[in-house]
Amino acid sequence: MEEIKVIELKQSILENNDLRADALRRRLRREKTFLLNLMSSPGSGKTSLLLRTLAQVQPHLRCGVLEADIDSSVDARRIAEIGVPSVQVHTGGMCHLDAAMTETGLSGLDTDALDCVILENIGNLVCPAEFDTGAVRSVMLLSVPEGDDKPLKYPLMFSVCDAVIISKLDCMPYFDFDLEAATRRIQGLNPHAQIFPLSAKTGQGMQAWLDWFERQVTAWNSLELDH
Amino acid sequence: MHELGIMSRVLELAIQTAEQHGANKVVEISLQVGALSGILPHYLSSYFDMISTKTRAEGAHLNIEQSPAIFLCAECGAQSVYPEFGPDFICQSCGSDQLTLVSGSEFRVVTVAVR
Repeated sequence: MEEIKVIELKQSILENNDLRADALRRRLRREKTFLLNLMSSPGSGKTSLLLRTLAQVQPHLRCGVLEADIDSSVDARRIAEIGVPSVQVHTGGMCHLDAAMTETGLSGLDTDALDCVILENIGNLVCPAEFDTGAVRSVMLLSVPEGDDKPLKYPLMFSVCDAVIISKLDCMPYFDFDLEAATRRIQGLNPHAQIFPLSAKTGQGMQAWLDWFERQVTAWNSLELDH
Repeated sequence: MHELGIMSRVLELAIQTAEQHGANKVVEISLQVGALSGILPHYLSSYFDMISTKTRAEGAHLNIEQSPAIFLCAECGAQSVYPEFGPDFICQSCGSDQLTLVSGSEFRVVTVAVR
């Protein structure tokens, strides 16, 4: 019988993901490609927001989309229909996307020729918040029907985001959603988060979000490269 | 559910280690799981068995060591140890709630045994 060798590694798996995410961000910086990580619970309107956003920014920004889903390619097809290159990443039952999977997904897009890529993460308010995908900015959606108490129930998700979009604003008359309470709760967890109440359906509030998004893309892509 | 993703990185690392050492089999993987890492050991084993099938780590033994959450009190400097995630996070010597987590959120591959 062959000898057993015990190899000491002491490697932190979560730190490895952070290192990989940082390496991916450095690569995207060299390529001048902005990566946005879009997170939310299922059915909060990520794809609708994405379609409306792409329609508005497409004329001046070259965009690509990474669609992460446990299964199916429904979302990727809807994106492809409007002429935006998209890649479907199947996580095969997994609840989140990590930096390595994001990297694999990006290999299906010519990132060097794109100004920005939007990653539509798995619909889940827990696990995606724990893994750095390598994105430059993270944004989450909280839809009006979900309720204004969500920041209290999923604090980590609200604290890791650069911006929170309160979506489906057109549903306000039908739900007891307290916009002021939601804003206060988000700010309590994350004083730096930008908050954009909007409706991708009616277009209400879209402009402020689009302006912020385009500013982030421009700022990242015009960063000086350090050699 | 994210134990699956974490275990696939562990598997990747173990197989890579075996290859680097010219070994055919991974026999044992020792993991250190912090009490506040949010990772449940029970799921680690079942996911590992599922994803390691037909790899050189198939049948490897998982040795899971759970480490406690240790907090440092900013007011009296004492360390409080929480073997289980309790509801009242206060310093066990002075009762202050000014606690900083010193360890317990880690998830490490400590050793990989190959043959």
